[in-house]
Amino acid sequence: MLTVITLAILGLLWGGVYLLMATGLNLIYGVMKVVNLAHGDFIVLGGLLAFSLFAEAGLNPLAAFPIAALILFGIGAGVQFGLLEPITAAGSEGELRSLLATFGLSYVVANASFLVWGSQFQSVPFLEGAVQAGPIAIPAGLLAASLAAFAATLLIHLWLTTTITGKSLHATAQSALGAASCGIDVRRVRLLAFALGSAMAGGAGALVITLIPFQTSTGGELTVHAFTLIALGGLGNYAGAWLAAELLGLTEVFAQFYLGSNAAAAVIYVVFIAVLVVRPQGLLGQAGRV
Amino acid sequence: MRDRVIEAILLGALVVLALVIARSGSAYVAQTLFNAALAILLAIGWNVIGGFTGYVSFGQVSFFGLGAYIAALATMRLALPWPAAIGVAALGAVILALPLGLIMLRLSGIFFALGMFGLARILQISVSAMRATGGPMGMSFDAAEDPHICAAVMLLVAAAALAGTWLMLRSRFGLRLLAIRDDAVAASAAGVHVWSVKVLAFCLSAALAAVGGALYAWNLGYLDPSSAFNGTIELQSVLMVTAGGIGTVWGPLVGGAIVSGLSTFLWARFPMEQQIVLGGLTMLIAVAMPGGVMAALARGGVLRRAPIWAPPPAATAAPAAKATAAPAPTRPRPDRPAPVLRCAGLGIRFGGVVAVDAVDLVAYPGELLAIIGPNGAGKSTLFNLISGFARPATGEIVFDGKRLPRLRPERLARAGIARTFQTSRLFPSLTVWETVLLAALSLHRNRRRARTEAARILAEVGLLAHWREVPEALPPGRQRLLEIARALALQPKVLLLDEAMAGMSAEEIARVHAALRHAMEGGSAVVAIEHVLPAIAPLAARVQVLDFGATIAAGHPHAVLNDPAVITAYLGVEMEGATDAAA
Amino acid sequence: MPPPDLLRLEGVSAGYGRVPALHAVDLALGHGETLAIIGANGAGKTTLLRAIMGQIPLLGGQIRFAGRRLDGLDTHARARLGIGYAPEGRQLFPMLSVADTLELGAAREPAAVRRERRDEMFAIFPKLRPLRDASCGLLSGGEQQMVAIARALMGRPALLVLDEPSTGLAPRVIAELYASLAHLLDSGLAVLVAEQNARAALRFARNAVVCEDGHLTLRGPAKTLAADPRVAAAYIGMHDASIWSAAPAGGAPDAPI
Repeated sequence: MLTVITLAILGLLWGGVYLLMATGLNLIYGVMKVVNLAHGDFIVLGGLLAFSLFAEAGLNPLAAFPIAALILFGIGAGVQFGLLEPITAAGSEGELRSLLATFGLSYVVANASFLVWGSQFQSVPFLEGAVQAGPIAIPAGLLAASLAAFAATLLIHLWLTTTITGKSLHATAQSALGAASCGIDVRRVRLLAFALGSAMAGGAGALVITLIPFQTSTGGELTVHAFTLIALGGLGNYAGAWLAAELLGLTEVFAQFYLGSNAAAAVIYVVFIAVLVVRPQGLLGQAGRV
Repeated sequence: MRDRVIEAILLGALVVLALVIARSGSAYVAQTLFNAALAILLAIGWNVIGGFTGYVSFGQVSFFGLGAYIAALATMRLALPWPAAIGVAALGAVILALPLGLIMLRLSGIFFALGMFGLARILQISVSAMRATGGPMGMSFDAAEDPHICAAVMLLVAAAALAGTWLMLRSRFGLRLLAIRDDAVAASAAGVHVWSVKVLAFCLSAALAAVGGALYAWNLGYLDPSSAFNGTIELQSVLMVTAGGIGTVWGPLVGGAIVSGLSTFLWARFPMEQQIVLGGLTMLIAVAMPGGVMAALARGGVLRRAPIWAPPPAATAAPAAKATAAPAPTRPRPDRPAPVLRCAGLGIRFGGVVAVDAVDLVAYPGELLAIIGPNGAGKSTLFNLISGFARPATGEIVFDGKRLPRLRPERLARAGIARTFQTSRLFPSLTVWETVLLAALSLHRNRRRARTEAARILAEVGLLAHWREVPEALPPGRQRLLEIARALALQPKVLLLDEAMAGMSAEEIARVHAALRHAMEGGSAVVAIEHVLPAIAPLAARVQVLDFGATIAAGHPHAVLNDPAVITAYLGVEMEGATDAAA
Repeated sequence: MPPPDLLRLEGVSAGYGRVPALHAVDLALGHGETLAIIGANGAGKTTLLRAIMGQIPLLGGQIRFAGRRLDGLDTHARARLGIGYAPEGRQLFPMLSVADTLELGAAREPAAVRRERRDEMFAIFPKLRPLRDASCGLLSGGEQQMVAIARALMGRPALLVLDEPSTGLAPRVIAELYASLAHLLDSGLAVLVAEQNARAALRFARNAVVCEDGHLTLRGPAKTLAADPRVAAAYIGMHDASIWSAAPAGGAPDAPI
């Protein structure tokens, strides 16, 4: 019983980390209807940046978190400006083309990271002790990372729902033409959304690398993780995304404990495909439209 | 015809040249050719699903890896000879693809792409966990002895696959694929069974990838999960097809030649940067040249896709039929036959808004029923209910004497309920001829019969002279005409026209009238939504007026159009309220 | 010298793809004037408004607003110049509240100004006040249209461009909507409205043009056009002009607005 409770707590804490990973993708998808296939690679890049900041400058992972986020913000802005905005502006067949573009981007980011950091697994040691809560021991690192992720997600959520700039992101997601007729520069909103989403990926990476070692090829898996969450939780539905993140965290922790890490990796994909099959209309809700 | 000969000669020459090089060159040259041909084969397979049906996949490598493992295990455990093992691999892939396609093809866009990606990872993890496959460390087995033979076989298979897609694109299957890629909704309205065509394409694509995997295993004599399900293979296929031209026959070959040349060069000189360059190239193509090399060539008039079949020569030689002078308007006949379509109490709501509210509608053979009403009155939704594109919440439809069960649009189209759409839904990449032929083929299994019918209908609406053109090149009125012709090619018992004559010239309207009269003389019932009444008035036996989803008047045109309720609904309200408030 | 026109279109052609849907249209609108563009579905009314708002590129001609050429300006830039736009289909933000939606209409103003103007809108459209916290997606059609117009007014535009405001609304709601609009004209606002509902539009606007197949075929004072049998023929496509005299209230509208 104690094991189950411990696992449940671990799962819920992992949920916080997943939530941050997915919220960035959710934001980008919501505003631009583009799935950034390099999202996972951005997460890995953020983690590896944190690794270097730790290894070269001795920076605490929590201090590396904003720096990694900032660097990814810049990269995201560059990608949106140079790659995705021209495709969006061209209009027709935008979905296919932006998929191909981010598919290519994912390889560029992963292999550029490979050139810099090599192919070995990297990790950042952080708060390796455990917090004792009665008979239950919780890894301090996971607790800190999870709380940081929850805090960051909450801050961004507050920013999105209370400030006029945040609301203009929502507005653009719901009707770009409506936003433009309000005098909102939708191009700038898209730039902001993509940069912010990328920053969240970078920040999440800086936290996750303290928990699991990263390799440059981990990105694809993380993209699927994040996408599973937004498919499961529902677009723009923050409560749904949170619920999905917790479910995924629990599933993974339990699968790892009872089935082993290899099978746990497969379970995630099975959940993913099951989600797609049960909700084939997905976030788009295109079924039956004539 | 000349284009076809050139294409055939070109392909033949390439194959012969490659075979000569493969047999006479060094083992290294043979291996390089093998790799290039394999990449092209995989690109062709990817193109079948990603290019011809528009389902971009990021997991076709699943079938590649699966084929490789099945073939290897078949030689090791069952001691099958390699040719048989390759066949088994293809069969195995199809057996997996069939149920998988039924599930995965329900997904759209990114969901399909990532679902396939997930599938590849699941297979990779499963294979790593199995003892029979040697787990993560992989397994060794007997490879082909002579790399030259290996390369020659690979080349022949790739050439056969290329010839196969070339032939496919000239078949009714290819025509349906292109139509679905362009517009699946319009394809089903033209009677195409979208579902089975997609699944078939998915299986075909899987089989090609599996054959590639089996040949890869035969060539190498060693397999491990991470190389059999390697994402780079996917990247290469995607890049080749998009660089060459997605959804074209020659795209994979052209793109494959360029990309495999480039990756071989990069691998030799910059092995570390190879994938960055390939990824960067994919980005560049997505941004700057979405159509790839083939689109650039097609703009220059080279290697453009030849139309699928052609009208019978006799049809094009004959002078186009003239629009006949209008006889007296069709009026309800006292002796009219039983209705072919009877809708009772049809209703549907969308999120609290009643779109169609208990509408009754009756259509008689040989008669035209005009449906009018202001914007948002529910006219088009009513058509969606009748033609199977939406399911009515209430009411029933009796068609041809039988109560209509819930059927898919393509079944209804084949059964005789054809429609057009309010905003034209034509297939951008199909010619005028192919558009009508597509519908005619839904009705006639016999190819000659379908061609004759398609040519007859095109002649009737005066479009036969334009048979080679794509819709974009036609003025709006002609585009509408083409959509009507597509519906007529289904020889409908009930023809639903949704503002089909908006934006037509008088001459075009006369053509439509003649064609509709001909169809009605043949016993078709026509139900036409129109906004501009003169376009339809001369043909209308009855008029039915909808407002806020409900019928507010029905009957003889003259009586209905002078009904005060109709005038208020249709022309707008008197503004007493407004003046009072403004005063 | 008379003051320059607020909005002036010269030889404007525009369309989708290769084929123009609008052919060499000339149009002028002064400060505080009201102009209705009427015509059947697909006649080019929405295309014309889209061209004015920069949603589709011009194939020829030019558009000036307040003396300034609009070439190359995006929709949002035109909105900032002082064109309030309530597009076809309303284009509201279904998951945002009415208050938030209105504030977004003046997104570039400081918070205090946004709130002040929002309250002005509640004075103009009192029906919206109790709905301030409701999501736009849950409002009725008439309420949604009011929000769309109020949102367009939040930027204090000199010109209000309305695309088919009466679509899908019940007759009484249409009357109410145009009554609210009539109140606004005192402040010197110019209004350009595309309408399929000819009667409502002709009663509201001082001048009108009839759009047919991408051409402006008739123009003149709304009162004159309302009585013109050619309008009936062109617009609803009925050759029988008696349909107008058979109207329940009888005769052409004559009350000044």
